[in-house]
Amino acid sequence: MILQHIEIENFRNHKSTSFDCSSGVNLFYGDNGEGKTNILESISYFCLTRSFYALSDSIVAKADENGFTATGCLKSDCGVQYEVQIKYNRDINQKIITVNKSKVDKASALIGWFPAVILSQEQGAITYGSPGDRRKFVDFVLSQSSRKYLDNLIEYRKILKQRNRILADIQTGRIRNKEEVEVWNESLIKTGTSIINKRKEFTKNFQKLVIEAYSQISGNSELPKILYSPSFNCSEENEDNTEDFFKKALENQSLTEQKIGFTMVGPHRDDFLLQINEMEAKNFASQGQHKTLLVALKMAEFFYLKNACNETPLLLLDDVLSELDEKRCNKLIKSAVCKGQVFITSTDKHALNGLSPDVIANVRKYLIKRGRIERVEEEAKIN
Amino acid sequence: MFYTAESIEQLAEQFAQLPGIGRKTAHRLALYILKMPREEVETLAKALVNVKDKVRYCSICSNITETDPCSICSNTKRERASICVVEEPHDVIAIEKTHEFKGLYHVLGGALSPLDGIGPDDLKIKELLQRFSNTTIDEVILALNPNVEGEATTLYLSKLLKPLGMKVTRIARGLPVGSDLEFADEATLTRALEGRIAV
Repeated sequence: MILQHIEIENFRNHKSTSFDCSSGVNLFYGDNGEGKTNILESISYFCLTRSFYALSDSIVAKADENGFTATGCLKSDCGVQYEVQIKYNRDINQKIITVNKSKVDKASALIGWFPAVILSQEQGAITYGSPGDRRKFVDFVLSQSSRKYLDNLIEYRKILKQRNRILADIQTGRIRNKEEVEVWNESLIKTGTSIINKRKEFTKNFQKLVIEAYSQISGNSELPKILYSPSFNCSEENEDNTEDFFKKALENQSLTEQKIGFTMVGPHRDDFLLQINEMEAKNFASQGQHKTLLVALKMAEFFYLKNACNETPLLLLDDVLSELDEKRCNKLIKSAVCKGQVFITSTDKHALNGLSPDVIANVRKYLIKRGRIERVEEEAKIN
Repeated sequence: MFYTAESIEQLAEQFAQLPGIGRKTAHRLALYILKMPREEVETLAKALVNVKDKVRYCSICSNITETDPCSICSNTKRERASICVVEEPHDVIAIEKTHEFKGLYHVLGGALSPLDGIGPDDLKIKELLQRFSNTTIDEVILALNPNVEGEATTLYLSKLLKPLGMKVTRIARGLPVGSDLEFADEATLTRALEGRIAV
């Protein structure tokens, strides 16, 4: 998939910006706070219907305006043209999404249509951070590649909210009948089981991609591993008995749950263990290993999505070039650029110079100043 | 500050409380009522009060009715051995329009939703169980909304009813008739695939 043209209006500090993108590498450079990341944010709207930074759409609209418009022209791998438009109105807090002028009813319907892999500084939390950060990563990949997973996830969150409300009411003594919790167990188990089984299947397939990417980057014999660690004991291979294990775990925890007032087991408490040579990365990996693992995970994500969505994802790198060194960048960008498109922000115009010639060929550089594109330079293709 | 008269403002205020009516429409309605002949306004007012006074819940199926038991429950031609359980009275109207279901109904008055403070005791579930002690029922059809709350209620009811020995079924979820496959959303299509039947 190639993003050919972007048009944004009243988007963050961009009053009105419109430009054609290179089908290879796009580098946005300029000083801090000039509006580089904002362009990546607009791309994330086309792919995910929301910003990968801001928690709400209202923050994204320009301060003195009451909404924003973002339009992107995309061409899929098989050559179909799409025009995606996101129109947000702050007054009524309404977001209208259209694809080729026809309205998309639910925002979730657009997710996975135009897959994207995003690497920003916050993503370092995947290897450093809490289980929640890793769940977010896996959910992010699976939601883009499986509509059923996304639907199940949304449904599971609704059920969880209802069930937690009962538990909170029991804890504070406001409720009534303790059997009411059990009413929600069945839905929780049913939806939760399909999420867990999908995560089991995912970790198995993803593992291979991570190993391959890691060895490509590091060039040594370290063996990375991603292991699924559900919130309760259940066999890794067998999918049929997940439901029974889930049920049993809920029964075992029921008294504790009533005491603390929320649901203790289920996909929302899962973790994914990242290991290098059988040692947990979070506690034992060096700075360099962390970075290599992160890039390997992102490369694996790229190839997983490419395969699952039948579409080459866009790669967005937000201010990470200086963090990762040239060797890692080379591999990551190279894997994306051979068929896809890369969008990079950096404060350094020459950020890409250290990369190998086949990577930096076909680069378009944009100087961003005060929410405007000041200058566009094309790097000649080197053959 | 009133731009018109106090009574107009008051009426508009009342209209604005109705679902789907904004402040502008409420004002337009209030001014329209002002222009209506007095008899018509009286008829309207009477109709409003009548709804409150005359309509009550059927003591058997909890549907809305003016006569108790309701016209469906008292109809001798209907099959008494099957009961269709729905959330709201308008669901009964929807199913009745099909002319396909000849049995009786039971209106729960909503679905389980702790976030809105609705538990099993707030629904007409006791009344439903009561009905099985008086007559023999062969089949209970659960026709609740295909959302999280409706689903939980369906599962809860099936758990309660199955031990009583009757056939418990639920309506199918899938594609709307007369539509195109390509326009169906993925969630519906996935459900339709899951619920496929042999031909």
